[in-house]
This record gives sequence, structure tokens and C-alpha cells, in this order.
Amino acid sequence: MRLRFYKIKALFLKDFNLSLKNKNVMAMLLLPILFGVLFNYLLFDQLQDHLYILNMCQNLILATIPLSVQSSMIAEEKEKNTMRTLMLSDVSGLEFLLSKSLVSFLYILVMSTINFFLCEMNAELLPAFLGLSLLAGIAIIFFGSMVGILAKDQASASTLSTPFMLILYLPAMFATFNDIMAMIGKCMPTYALQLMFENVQNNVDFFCMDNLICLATMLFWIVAGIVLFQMAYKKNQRDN
Amino acid sequence: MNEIMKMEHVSLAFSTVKALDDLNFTVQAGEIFGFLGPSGAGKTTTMKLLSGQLRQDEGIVQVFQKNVKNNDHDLYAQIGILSDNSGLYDNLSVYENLKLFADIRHLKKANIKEVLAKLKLEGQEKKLVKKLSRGMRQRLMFATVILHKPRLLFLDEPTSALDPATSEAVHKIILDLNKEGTTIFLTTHNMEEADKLCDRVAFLHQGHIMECGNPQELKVKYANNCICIQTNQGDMIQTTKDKKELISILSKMDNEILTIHSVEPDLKTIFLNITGREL
Repeated sequence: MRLRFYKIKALFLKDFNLSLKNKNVMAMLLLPILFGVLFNYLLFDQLQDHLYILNMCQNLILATIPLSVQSSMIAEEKEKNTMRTLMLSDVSGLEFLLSKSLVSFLYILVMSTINFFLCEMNAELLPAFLGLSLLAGIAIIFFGSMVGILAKDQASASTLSTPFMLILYLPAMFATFNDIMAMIGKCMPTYALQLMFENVQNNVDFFCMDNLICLATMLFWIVAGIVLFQMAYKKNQRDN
Repeated sequence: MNEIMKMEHVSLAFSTVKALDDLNFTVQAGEIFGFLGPSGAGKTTTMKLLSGQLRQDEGIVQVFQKNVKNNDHDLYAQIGILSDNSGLYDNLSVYENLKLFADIRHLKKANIKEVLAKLKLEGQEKKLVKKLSRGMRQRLMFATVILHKPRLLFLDEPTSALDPATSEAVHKIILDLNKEGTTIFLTTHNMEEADKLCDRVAFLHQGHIMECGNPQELKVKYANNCICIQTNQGDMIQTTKDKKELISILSKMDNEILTIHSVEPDLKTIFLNITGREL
């Protein structure tokens, strides 16, 4: 597949512009912020460690942006037949996917920064937090892209992405509640991000065993996502 | 003329259904080639094969003397495809849509100005696409596919669902593009449109080409040897082209002759004669 910078730039500007006009995307972006404000309002004084609120909101950001926003942007192109027009205008599948993913990554960075400061975390840890969030985002983005490719329109993308969102959000959120949830949570990139950021906060060596397991989990999600996305992409090509 | 497109013994089946059966035709540079047939005949499938969106089971598909590959990006850089499945960005303006496709194809802003003028879209630049009329929308679709001045243009039912006035405007655009040297592959089920625009047509029926040639030549070929005489009294007399019979009728006529002409079938009638079914 071809990758040309000028095409990615043109597509990225278009995707960013259109995402700002897409009500589904805007609603999905506002959701984590609204929850962030709500959690902080309800729990801020009751918790000594604000990491729990940060994690809850960050899980929501990672469950919505690379999944719901990404799939919604792709499904919108399918719904309006513009994806076919682009493909026939010498845009490769990879360029199409990358431009959308860059928009999602930008939103992950912006929303994660807002979440980080809402929870009044130590600003020195922001680069590490953003880097790890981006890594978790990469682990999930292929699943969001797969949902977008499989969905016929934005409504079906929203329906298809909901179970994935719950899988990513709930085990990581309740991992501390019991062993089973913790075990399931360890298989999720969202929980891997939580554990790795905790280790960063506690100045644990980055290449400790816990972190390596977390990185392996994320790598597994990336590989599995690429394989499933490619299967969906080929199936979609054949059906159309 | 150079051969720009070729299909040789091309067949394609979707599971057990044969969509195309042993297709053979060539298209010369500078031609408007009409691919005619009813819905489901295989017109769009043929176009998808020629543009690398599908792959044939058997045979050779060539464009610009090269075998067409699946998702052939070198080919997409040289052709324009306008189908009923083509889309525009409704929430972007006319100019933003054109700019996007110009940027994607690495073109200069001058190209945008040129197509805006050519397709009479000047003054509409800031208008959102969702607020355009159907005719304007179709003009913009044309503008996006001719921005890069393609040598070959695939048009899949470009006037379907358009009103007569807008269809007329689209026909003018097609003829103008052809005059400038663009080869056009046009699929349509509108026989009048094909008759008006095409240098050559092929009749497709159940995935098989039944007839191929110049519309005028086909009309002569399938003419039913009939002469029609109209008198100034309004009488219509039909006879054969047999010289003796014609002279005999003319000599017996008391009224003055208003018109006398051969009766040639239109493409619709020819299609009906060949396939036994209407469009």
C-alpha cells in the first residue's frame, strides 16, 4: 500500500474539519469531559489519590475516541459514498486509515490533557501520561477502524462499537474490586495504561516485569487489531 | 486512432450467477463508447473491471495497453470515474470539495479555477454542497473527476434521476470534454442519450454483448426496408424500398407529396429486436 504525505495532509485537514461538524463525534468527545467534571465534583474531596478519577475518565476517553469516534468517521464516509470516491481518486486504504487515526490521536491527546489537569495531577508526569495514552490508543484504534469498515452507517457503527466500549471500560474500572475482574482487566490495554502510569508515578523502572507484561498486552491488541481490520477490509472490498 | 481500452474473452461469475460472459470489445482514443443495457445486464460490473475495482475470472482487461490490476493506483491517477455511488462532502463548500481533490492529486489552484469556469460553477464556491440543487451537485461531481484532466473518463449512468434540462447540460459537458480529447466510456440505459452522444455503442444483455457498432450504422443494418410517404392531406403511406412498388404507388397518388423518407429503427427498437426484451 502507498503512503504519500501530501495526500495524508489533505485528508487529515478534511477529516479534522468534518469531525468538528459531526454531531456524533462531538457528543463522544464531550462525554469523557462531562464525566470528568462530574466525577471530580462528586469524588474529588473524598479521595486522597485522584488517580482513580483520572483512570475512570481516561478509560472512557480510550473507550470512546479510538473506538466510537474512529468508527463513526469511517462509517460516515461509507454512508455518504465518499470513501469509494476517495479510493477511486488514487487514495490508498492506508492513507485513508492513517488520516482518520491521526485525528483520533489528536483528540486523545487533547482530551487526555484536559482530563489530566481536571484531576490536578503533577504536570511533570504529563508527557509520560500522554505517551502511554497514545500507545493504548494505538492498541485500540484498529478495532475502531474495523467496526467502521464493517458498519453500513454511523448508527450501526455506534451499535457495533458499544460492546467493545464496555469490554474496554468496565474490567479496567472494576479491576480493583475482585481477582477475576483484575485478571480480565490485565488483558485490556486500558488497564495496562493504568498500571504503567502508576509505575511511572512510583518511579519504578520502565522495563520492569509488570511494564513488560503491559507492553506485551498492548502489542497483542495492536497485532490482533491489524489482523482483524485486514480481514474486515478484504471482506468489505469483496462485498462491494 | 489508438486503442485505449480492450476486453478479450472476459468472463466473471458471482458464485453461481454468470455476470459477464465472454466479453470482447475495444475502445479507441477520443471515442465516446456507450455501454447499453437494462439494469442488471452487467454494465457497472464491466466498468468496475475496467477500473480495477473487480477482477475477472477469465480473459484480458487492458487500459492504456496495460493489464488492469486490482486497486490499480497508477491507473486511478490517469482516469476519472463518476458513478451513481460517487459521493461529495455535504458539509464542505464547493471550493473545499474541489480543493480536497486537487490536494489529493497534487494539483495547482489554477486547475480549480479552470473547472469552476468550465462547469459554470463560478460564484457557487462558498456554497455548502448540501445546499446545492441536484444539477449543480452533478456539475460538481464532474468537476471533481476532471480536475486532473484524465485521458479516460468512466461515466456510470450520469443522467439517471436528472430532469431533462439538467440532463441536457450534462450532455453538453460530456461532448465538450470529448472535444478536448477525453475518451469517454459511458454506461446508460437511456438509448436516446446514447444515440445523441456515442460514436459507438455495445448492447449488453445478460452479461453478453449482443451487438456493437456506430449507432447510425446499426440503424441502417436493422432498418426494416420500409419507406414512409406523407401527403399534404395528412395521409401516411408505408411501402418497401422495392423500386417498382414505390414508383407504382407514387404514380397512383393524387395528392401532393409532403415528405418521403426511409423508416429506421431507433436504438431502443434495435435492442428490443435483438434481445426480445425492453429496457
